[in-house]
Amino acid sequence: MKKFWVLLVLFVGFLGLAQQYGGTVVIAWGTDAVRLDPADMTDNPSETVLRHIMDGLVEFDEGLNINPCLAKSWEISEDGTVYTFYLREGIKFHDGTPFNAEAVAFNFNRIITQNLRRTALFQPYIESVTAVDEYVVVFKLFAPFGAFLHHLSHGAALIQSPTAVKTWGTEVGKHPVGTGPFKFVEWVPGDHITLEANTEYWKGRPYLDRIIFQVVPEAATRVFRIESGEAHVATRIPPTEVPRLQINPNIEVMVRQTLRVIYIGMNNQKPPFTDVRVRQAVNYAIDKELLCQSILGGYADPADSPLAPLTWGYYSTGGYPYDPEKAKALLAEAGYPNGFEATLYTPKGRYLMDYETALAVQAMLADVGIKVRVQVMEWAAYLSMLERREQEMFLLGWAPSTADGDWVLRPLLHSANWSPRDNNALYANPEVDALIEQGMRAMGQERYELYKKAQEIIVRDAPWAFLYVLKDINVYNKKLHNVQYLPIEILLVKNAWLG
Amino acid sequence: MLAFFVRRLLMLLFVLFSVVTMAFFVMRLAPGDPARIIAGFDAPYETILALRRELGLDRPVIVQYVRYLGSLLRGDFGRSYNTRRPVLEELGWRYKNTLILAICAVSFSTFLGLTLGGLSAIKPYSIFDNFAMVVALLGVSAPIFWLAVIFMWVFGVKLRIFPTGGTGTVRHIVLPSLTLGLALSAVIARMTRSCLLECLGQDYVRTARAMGFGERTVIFRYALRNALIPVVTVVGLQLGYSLAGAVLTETVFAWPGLGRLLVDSIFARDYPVVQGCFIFVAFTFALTNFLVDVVYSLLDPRIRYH
Repeated sequence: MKKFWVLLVLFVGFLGLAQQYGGTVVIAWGTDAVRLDPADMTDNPSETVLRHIMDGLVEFDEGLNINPCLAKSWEISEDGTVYTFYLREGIKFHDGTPFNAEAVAFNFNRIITQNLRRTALFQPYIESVTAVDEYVVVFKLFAPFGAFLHHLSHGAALIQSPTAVKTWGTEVGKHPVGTGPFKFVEWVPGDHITLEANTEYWKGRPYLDRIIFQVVPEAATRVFRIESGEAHVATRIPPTEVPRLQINPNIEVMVRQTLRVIYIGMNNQKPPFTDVRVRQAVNYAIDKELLCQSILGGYADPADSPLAPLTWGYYSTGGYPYDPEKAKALLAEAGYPNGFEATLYTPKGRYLMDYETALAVQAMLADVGIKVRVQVMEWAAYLSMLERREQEMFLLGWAPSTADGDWVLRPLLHSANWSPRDNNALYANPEVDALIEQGMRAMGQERYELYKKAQEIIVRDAPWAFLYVLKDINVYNKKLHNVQYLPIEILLVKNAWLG
Repeated sequence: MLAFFVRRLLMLLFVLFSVVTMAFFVMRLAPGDPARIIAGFDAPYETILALRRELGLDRPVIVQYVRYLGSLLRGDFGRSYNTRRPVLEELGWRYKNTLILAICAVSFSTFLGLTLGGLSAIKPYSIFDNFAMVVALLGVSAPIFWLAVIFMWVFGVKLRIFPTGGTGTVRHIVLPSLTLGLALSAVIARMTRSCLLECLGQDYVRTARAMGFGERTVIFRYALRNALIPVVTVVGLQLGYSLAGAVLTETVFAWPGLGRLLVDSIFARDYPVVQGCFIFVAFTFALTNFLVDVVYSLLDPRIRYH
């Protein structure tokens, strides 16, 4: 009899854990999607929705490794300029259009020939895309490009139905059709987007019947939504709400590291920041550990490179330990024994605790004699200010949407990309420029070595004060299982089920 | 009466033209580049340049202005920079939502305000009066955000009677309109009380009483009717304000209305949507004012328009 009960308990427990079909999941998030056209969207919510509706040739897993998806395999030519993809057969888009090499070529030819918002992610590299067979597609590049597979894993490389693009034209962003596990149902702007299961999905029917993405701009309200059971997932939760949610037996708090490095850029072309010792002094004067623990409540890790640890190519340089004495010595050596005055610009509310960080940095720099005025600016005005190269010190964050080091080093630290492009610190080092350019053309370990060297030089040159790598806090109801998180700040429930 | 209408219509057109012009230039005076915001922070610079060309932002402002006016005259409000949807499509259903919220909230506040204010005036300095005025004071001074959070927590999370926000059913409108309405009702209550008290002390009320009319007739037919004129002004203004200024309520309750769209669009420098919002809000304001004028004339036959 005892055995029976034990077995029964185990069986019930198993039922609770086993994948179950059915149910609707409601996701409460802060902002609405903008356009559901992969080639023409730049926002995170649109990409999240699209990653449920569409597949790419390749895809990221949660560790940002690149795995086959619609392409079952691929070959790269010796010189690195020709990529041949072998596609899975027998797959159909939600509208019945067959998925084949023609469809892939159509998608990429559209993005490289038209002026879409993600054109620049592919146009500079792809010379041509040709369907050589029903299920074989060949990408010819202008030059070898080491980060190409990362670009193909980007949300912009998701494949949509050519029929839908032809039917809807410029309105296709309201009618997304892919091969993915969920089909688009409706979009009420500013309110919600509904998806339903694609029962014919080539990897097998998804567990959930429906997903509803609901726009709930206020974080406190998102928390209420999950507490009241109206939503199963709530995204971007402020750290202050976490302790309360952690003691709720129905709620799981998911804290994951992102690729977002927060830094304070210094204008490398404007004294006193032209002197590397001054820039190094600023780095030594900031207690990164304290910032992470006290200001960010533990939801960040100190940064020791312009790349986050999960970004491809990251190398742990050791960074700058907190050493105010060394900072003072360096300042004295540079001819500023009594410090100097500078303005630190910061946005407020753009990044988690951005303004609070600026204030803490102000206090830390004051300890070594650097008197900093903190000036808050609204985001749009802030970006315009950076374009005009008026900045002395500025707080910013960056996360490469391709998850590759190239998309940090090149835009932010190559001297060809000074403001109004994204090298707002106006940093220039020919050696780093050369390493970045070689890195573009190299592959694998060789590329990693080049990036490693570049990071060592950059950290030594200290164009920025490297602050921290942010974590993302999302919460979900414990009834929901297998919620996935890509560190490019994308939360996925396409493989989730309700228990 | 016809001349009055024509005059008002011309004024309305002038107001709308001024609003369009102001919205157009004020937005462009503010620092910030729409292309930069829309392209996304990590967008390559080429994308931003292409966007500027595409949106026509590389042309002189005056050319942009003339083009915009031209398309407005053809009834074309343009397309959102951000979503590429027509502005009217963006505004349409949000305007409807805002209208629903505003009407519900103002109806609730008018009912509550008139009741509290009226009863207080009839029995001034009584316990009820003191109680009602304290409630009114709290209503005026309690921040909407705080009120909203308390309501959501009590009715949404603890009692689970009403949803904590969003749209869809009649139940969704209850908490937002209660929150917004409560804040508005306080002003109406205090206004009603003081105006009614003043009217009740007038000679004509004493005369009415002396003539033997019942207290109910005296209050409703003579005193209240006169007392209502300033109250109607306040209600009209509140309707106008809640159409444009219910941003907080809309944000906290995730109510997709015009106020939230306006604020979001300002931050995104989505000029066509901002301009569209301004036109809609100004039009509604002007319309409400006109309706208030009409109600005046109904309440007080001495007020007539020639």
